[in-house]
Amino acid sequence: MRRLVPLAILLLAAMGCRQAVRTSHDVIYLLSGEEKIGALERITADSLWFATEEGTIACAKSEVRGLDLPQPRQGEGWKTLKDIDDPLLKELFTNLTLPQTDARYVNLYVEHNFILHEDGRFEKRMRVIRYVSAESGKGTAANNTWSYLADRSYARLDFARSYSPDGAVSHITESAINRASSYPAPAEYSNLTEIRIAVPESRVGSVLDFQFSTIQNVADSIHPISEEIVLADRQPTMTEIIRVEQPQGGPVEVYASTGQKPERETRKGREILTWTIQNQPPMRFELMIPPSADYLPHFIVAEKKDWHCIAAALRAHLDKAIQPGERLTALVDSLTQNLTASEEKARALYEFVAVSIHSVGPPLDSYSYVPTPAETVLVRGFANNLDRASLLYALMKQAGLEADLVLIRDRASGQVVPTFPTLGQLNKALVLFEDRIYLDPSSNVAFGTLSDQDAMGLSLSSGKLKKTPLHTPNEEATVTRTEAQLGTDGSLNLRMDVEFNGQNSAWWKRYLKPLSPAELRQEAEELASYIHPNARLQDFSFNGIEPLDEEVSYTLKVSIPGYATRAGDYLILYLPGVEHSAYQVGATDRAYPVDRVTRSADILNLDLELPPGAELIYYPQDVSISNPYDFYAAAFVQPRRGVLQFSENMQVLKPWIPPQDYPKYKELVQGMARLSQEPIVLKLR
Amino acid sequence: MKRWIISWIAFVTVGLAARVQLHDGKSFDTQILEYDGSNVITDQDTIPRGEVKEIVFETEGGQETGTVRTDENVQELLKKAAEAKKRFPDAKGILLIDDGRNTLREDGTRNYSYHMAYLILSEGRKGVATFRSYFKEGDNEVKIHFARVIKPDGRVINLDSSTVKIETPPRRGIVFFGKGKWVTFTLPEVQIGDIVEYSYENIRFNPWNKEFFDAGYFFQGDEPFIYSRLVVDVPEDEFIKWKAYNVPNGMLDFKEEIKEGRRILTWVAENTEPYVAEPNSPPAGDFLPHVELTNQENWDGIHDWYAAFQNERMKITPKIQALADSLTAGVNTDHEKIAAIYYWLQQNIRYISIKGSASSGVSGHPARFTLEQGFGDCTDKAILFATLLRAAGIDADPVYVGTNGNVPMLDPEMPGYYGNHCITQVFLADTSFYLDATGSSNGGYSRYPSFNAADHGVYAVNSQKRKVEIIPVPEPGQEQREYHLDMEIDEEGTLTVKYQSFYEGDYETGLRYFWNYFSREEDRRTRFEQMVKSTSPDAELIDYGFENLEDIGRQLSLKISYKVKDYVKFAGPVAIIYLPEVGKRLTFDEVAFENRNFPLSYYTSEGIRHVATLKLPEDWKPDYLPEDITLAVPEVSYRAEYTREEGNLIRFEDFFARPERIIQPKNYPQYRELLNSITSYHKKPILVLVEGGEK
Repeated sequence: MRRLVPLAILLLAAMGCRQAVRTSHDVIYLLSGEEKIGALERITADSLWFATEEGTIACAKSEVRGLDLPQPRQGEGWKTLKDIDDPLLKELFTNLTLPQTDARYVNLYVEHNFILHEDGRFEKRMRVIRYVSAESGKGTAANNTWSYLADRSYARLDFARSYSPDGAVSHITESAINRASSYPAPAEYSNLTEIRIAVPESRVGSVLDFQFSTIQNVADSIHPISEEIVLADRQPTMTEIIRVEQPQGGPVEVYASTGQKPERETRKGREILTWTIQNQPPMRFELMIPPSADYLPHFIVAEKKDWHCIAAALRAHLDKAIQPGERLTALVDSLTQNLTASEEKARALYEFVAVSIHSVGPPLDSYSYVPTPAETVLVRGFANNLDRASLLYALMKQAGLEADLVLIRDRASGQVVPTFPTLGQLNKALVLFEDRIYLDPSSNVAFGTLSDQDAMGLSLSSGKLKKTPLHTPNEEATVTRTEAQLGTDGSLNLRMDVEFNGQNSAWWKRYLKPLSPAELRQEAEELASYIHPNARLQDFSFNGIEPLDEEVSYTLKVSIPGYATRAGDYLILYLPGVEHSAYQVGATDRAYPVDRVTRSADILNLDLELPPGAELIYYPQDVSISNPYDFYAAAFVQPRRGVLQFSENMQVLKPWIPPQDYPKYKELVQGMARLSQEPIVLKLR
Repeated sequence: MKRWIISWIAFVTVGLAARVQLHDGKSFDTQILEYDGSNVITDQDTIPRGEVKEIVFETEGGQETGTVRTDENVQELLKKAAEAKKRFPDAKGILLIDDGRNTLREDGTRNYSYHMAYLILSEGRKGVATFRSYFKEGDNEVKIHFARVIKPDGRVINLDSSTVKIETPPRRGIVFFGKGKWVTFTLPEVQIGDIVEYSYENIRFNPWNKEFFDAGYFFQGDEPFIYSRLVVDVPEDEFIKWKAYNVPNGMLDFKEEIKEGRRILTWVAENTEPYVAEPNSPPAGDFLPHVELTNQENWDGIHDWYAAFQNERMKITPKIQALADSLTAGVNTDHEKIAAIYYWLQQNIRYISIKGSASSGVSGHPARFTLEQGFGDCTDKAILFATLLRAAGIDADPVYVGTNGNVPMLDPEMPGYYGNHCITQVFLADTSFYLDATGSSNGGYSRYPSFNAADHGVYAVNSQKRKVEIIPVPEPGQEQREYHLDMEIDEEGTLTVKYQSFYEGDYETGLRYFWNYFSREEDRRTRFEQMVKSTSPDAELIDYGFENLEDIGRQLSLKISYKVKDYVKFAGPVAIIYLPEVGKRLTFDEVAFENRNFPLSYYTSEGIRHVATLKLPEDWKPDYLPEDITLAVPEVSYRAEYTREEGNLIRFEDFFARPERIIQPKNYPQYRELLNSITSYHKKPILVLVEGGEK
């Protein structure tokens, strides 16, 4: 018979009768599956006593699975506002005038402290005091995350508490704090760790107060002090302080994008620099915005060096990592045998890394700037961006090719501040082949395809800054060719050929490659339904999915009963596959630039064969709009009776549009949308 | 030759007094563990209490099943792979061996062991090389028997045990605090064409409840399964009930045998074709072949266990009574009382999930604790909600549900652990109904008596009343959007629209959440500008406003007015006019596929109604109005009509009603056709003859 585990918990009535039980948030987990919250009182060799609100339980150790004990934290004895002895808080509450706001919460006070200790340890602390002003803000205000690299630092939550409108103070419980790896698998790249917390009692009217801190143990050229702060909160901040403290003449410097000068103070041989930013407005919701660091106040706290020194330090590690072993040497020989041209060899090596080394893990600034030895990467068969690029670099060097490793700042993170050399600004590795082709050995990306265009980076071989190219619109073009025949009954037969180039091709390749033939059919049916809900797929093909160097294209053949609407003697239809929306230019004005990331082109040619005898009585006028950022032209031609030809060409010439020129962009997008809403009207005889 | 078997144990508790984890991240094992009120005394050191984060005590530990999986013969496996590849040439990966074994012991501890061999045939399937298995210290442990990569040429790369790590995974999406960890490793050198093979065992020495044993196993996936087997090994006298679902005739071989006091049940499927996933399908368990098994004859044991935890947590403390009294003071009816508590709970207890043990796992925390902290998850809130309602004199219970987008439909004949969610059932004199006070981390916005659509049409387990019942799907009118458009066109073809919308049910909840999230007027205005611009590039927002956005107890309504220049398209003497917005709202992306093999699933029912009037200039003569339409199939109906009224006014009214949540594949073609007919109908314009010819 199965053994039943009795719930051998003894309620000690005498102890339970006490009027006041010490309040605590210790948690006891019993083997029965039950858990209790209270205070651990005593553990002996075989028993355990635990006080709960209902009395003290005593049990055998063998009945207990475990215990959680909260960490003592600053101010944990405070029960009401009267108990507070923190001068900052006291002053804040004395002078606090609660803001009238439509924000979800308001940051009353945010303080970033960066402290370089005499022994070389680097400490950073962030304290946030926040007022919850709306129901919809209480969770976002109270649930917070703090990240650190576990191999060289340790972080902690110093305190987290809330002050309710009636003056009660609630402290965080240990169970509402979690420490987890941000990239838990593969474990080889798992050292970015996060602490997640949930501050209790977050309600409208509450003030939340929490502080995290990290001690960084190693601070050398390859594990730099480098912290960035962008004032990009969606909610307003009344006071934000950035404070740097270090021994006088210390190495830490601060870049402030606003040019704001700090207050300087010297105390006991230590230099203290303080920036105070008052009344920072909330970030607006806008579409197609660039990285916030590029247009909002942005600070970098780092050991400023020169780019040559940074490159030299990295190069030393890279040189070690690329030392060829037997495996690497043999691989290069086999991949390049019978190839003579350097580009042929580079392509072969690139293709090996792109196809054979599985892409995993975090970006390099979330892991390490020290590359894993190329031989190890080959053995593993998986790698993060830096290790993939380093491997490619090692293979190319071994093959005698001219190559350079360039560390860039990816486009999503914003632009490099070239005047403030610091390794922490760089977060992606590319290989530069013969000083002309940048290679990003990501999965399913063709040789030379580059997502991070016009991005600045550091050449490790020269120690100089370089910029990746901005491709032409045609290199990033999507070209559509459509032939359609309209029937008297309004039905449409259509063949559409679409070809993608550059990044679009890479995106489609990544998307289509894992699909089975049956899933490709589903995809084709979906694409057909975008042309018209009644579209019936007759045939389809997808091309260029597998070969790395081929651009992706597809062909659809569809028939669409009732495509044109019969209204009396008229047939009314819209250009098939031409649908532009003005949604993204709905806003009257903009505070931030429009960023399309790269140049691009959308080219469409359509031949529409009309039903016999139908008279074309209306079609839209040609459109041509251009400005320094974009070009759009659409034209109709009737080469012969019964045929209408339409061509359209939209080109992004400059990806970035400053806010003051938003009206020009708006006019162009509206013009495109207007055209796609214009009907073609035929009169039937 | 038989290869060596590595054995790696994630965390051995056997033979230790305890494992102590400190707040600075360090941990150690100790034979001595005492506490004197200030210090924790161990065989390593005496540690101030403040430095200790967690203590996990020694348990009896688990046993291996004694049937440790050994690896297949390499050449046999390669041969199997070659045959499979030939048989399934389009496969992106093939599961060659999929062999699971559940073992239940006399003492209620149990093991799950699994042996897998997978042929990688595409880049996307290389992720199979990463192994993860969940465990919780003090509850279970993971043993890896072996893991290896087999190259097409027969070369074998064995797992380096030093690469096996313990990691704490993050939980994305919801605010979750738990104690689970992973044993994880990634096999090296994995390339397309390789076979990844491993075997491991998860030993549950401290299961949630030693009385309950259940198992489930799928025999089809999105890659071919060559050999798929489930073995369940239980004591001979153990009650076992099992069922196979969605299994075609002849697919599954079953045998049962008694051996040395053990009852062994075995199911085998071979050479199973992959299924092709379809978007908007119900959870895979609703349509893929699988076996479910339980040792519970009925729900009594489950009800007893759940109810005991719940009763412990649903104590009405003075604070809870006082809160219930204050919330219901001044209201007269039971419905008003329930609504007052429903709103308070949604808005004052924010969503956070903390799970430490079986009891918090299934029944959350005590109502008083959730109230004190101001946060809790679905279970915590359902417990507190029921407790507050009881304090207010209303009968209410927490009930467990499996949300309809995530959990396969429960078979009530198969009692066991069920659900991923907890809500509340309320009982009045003549009726009972369900409410879900969970909301989100940033508040809940359901207007009484509506509740989360993910709970509609699924089973609810009420252990207080000892019942398992289905939650009805509301009528379309209870999940309805209604749009009123008051429009006028002037002589120049400019359209002016006064729009007002009204909402019921889950859509209202979502919209209220959305507009509360975009709390700042500046951001709201931009959103409205974008909305009207998507109607037409020449649309300009005039004004907007809300009714009852903040007042959760009253119906939400949006008011927008906008103007569109050159809205009317003139083709000769004919003016072409479409009703704005209506056609887009009645376009149905979910029916893009011509056919479906699996049901099309929605969260709930849906109703959409338009009431529109369009005033034309006096001298414009309507020449063509789309004909009236009435369409109906069992799953959906639609009717629409245009009428001419005095004052050169055109009136349009329609009603779309979909009472069904699930569309079966056999009914899908007619369902699709009907939806597309609605969309096509709205591509028909109003044609108007304009006095004086072309504009």
